Amino acid sequence: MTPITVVIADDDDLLRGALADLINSAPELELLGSAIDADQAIELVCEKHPDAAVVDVKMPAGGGARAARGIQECSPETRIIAYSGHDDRAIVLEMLSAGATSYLLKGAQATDVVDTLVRAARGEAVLSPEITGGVVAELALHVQQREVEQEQQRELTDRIRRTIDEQRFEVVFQPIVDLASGDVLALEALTRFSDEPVQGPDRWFADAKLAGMLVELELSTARVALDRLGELPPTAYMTFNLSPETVPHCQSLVDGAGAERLVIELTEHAAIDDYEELSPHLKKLRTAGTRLAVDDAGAGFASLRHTLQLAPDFIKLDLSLTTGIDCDRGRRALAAGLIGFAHELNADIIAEGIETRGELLALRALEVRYGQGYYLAAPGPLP
Amino acid sequence: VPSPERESELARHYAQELARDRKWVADELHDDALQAMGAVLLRLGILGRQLTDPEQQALIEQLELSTRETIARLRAVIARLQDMPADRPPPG
Repeated sequence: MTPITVVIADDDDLLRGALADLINSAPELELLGSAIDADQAIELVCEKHPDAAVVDVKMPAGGGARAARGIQECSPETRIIAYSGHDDRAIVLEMLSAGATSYLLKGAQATDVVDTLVRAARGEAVLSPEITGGVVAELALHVQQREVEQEQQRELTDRIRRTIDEQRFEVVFQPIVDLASGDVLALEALTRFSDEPVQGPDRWFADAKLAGMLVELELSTARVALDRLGELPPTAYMTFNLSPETVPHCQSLVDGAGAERLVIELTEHAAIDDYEELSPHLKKLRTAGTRLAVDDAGAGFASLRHTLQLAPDFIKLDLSLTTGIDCDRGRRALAAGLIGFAHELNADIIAEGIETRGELLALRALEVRYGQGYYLAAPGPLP
Repeated sequence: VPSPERESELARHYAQELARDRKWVADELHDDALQAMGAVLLRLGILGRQLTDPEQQALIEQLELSTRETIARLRAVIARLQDMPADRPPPG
């Protein structure tokens, strides 16, 4: 049987020496090296990738918790045994959440040390018997909570994966019309999810983001929308929503689709913090003829500074400004400001969420060029 | 005769000094004596694993037991020193 490879880290010379001799004397163990502080411990483990590392909880350069985190990062297969004079529950829990799987008290005798190392390397979690019942109970709760969280994350990921793979959504289209003539400028592609749970598209995309699958979901819904471009009236654009993080990945999608008939609606669920990264991608897309709209202007994160930097073709007036605009001077003034701003940028305004005739008339009076909303046409399948 | 203010100031000072000393003793015991005893315990174990004579092994086991008991007592003292509020005199 190949021996279990071990690294030890403890700043006490006597104890480190005894531990080293013990491991060297045990045929089932092989000592690969010893360290006297957290830095050395991390370095040693990263180099040797031992099966197990005995880590003193209280040592220089950040202590055992820092060492455990560093070890976890570069050598996740190494089992960490916290070695401590304390049975203080806060310290036990800190070490265990830092990645240690076992906790050995310094009052443990030689056979316990060897036994713990062997079992830990096998993947078992070992706690010194002296560690009190309270800690064990709390630890069990801790582990249980972590399992619940992991389970929830797995379920979320599975759900989004299923939605994408089995295309459990449909794309509907809502016209964007010229408010003066009634001509259809574009159709906005909107995603409706058919899977459980019943929740709005915003929530689905937020869930996808939590699962780390936002880009994938957005690309997949956009692909389905773009496949329908041929069915649109020949003069109409298709607009579709993308988050800033998806933009760098959508080039191939747009390339085959008739780029000059597409409008990307850049949705900002968070402030865009890296324009440097985004702008070359946008430039490339726009050179190919794709237009750009900034979504939700006048609300949330779509700040004027961002809009200015993006120099979009369209600015979409958020529905929080459209709703009740005919009865509210404040909203009218804000909208008028944005309209002037759009004019300066050579962009056209699209008012979202027009639901009443009064709102339509007020927007017309403000010389808003385009609009969409239930009053004009509901989202629906293509004819 | 010190004024009442001066007296309470001295008492506070004394309590602070006492708390500091206790922490120092607790830390010393933990970081030094406890580790050294731990080393002794491990070395006894190494020896025990090399011995083949049951009588000698039993002797080592007794030594291990005593050492573990010493360590447990040391840890109890440390815990008491850490938990003890400084405004109360040490028990016994």
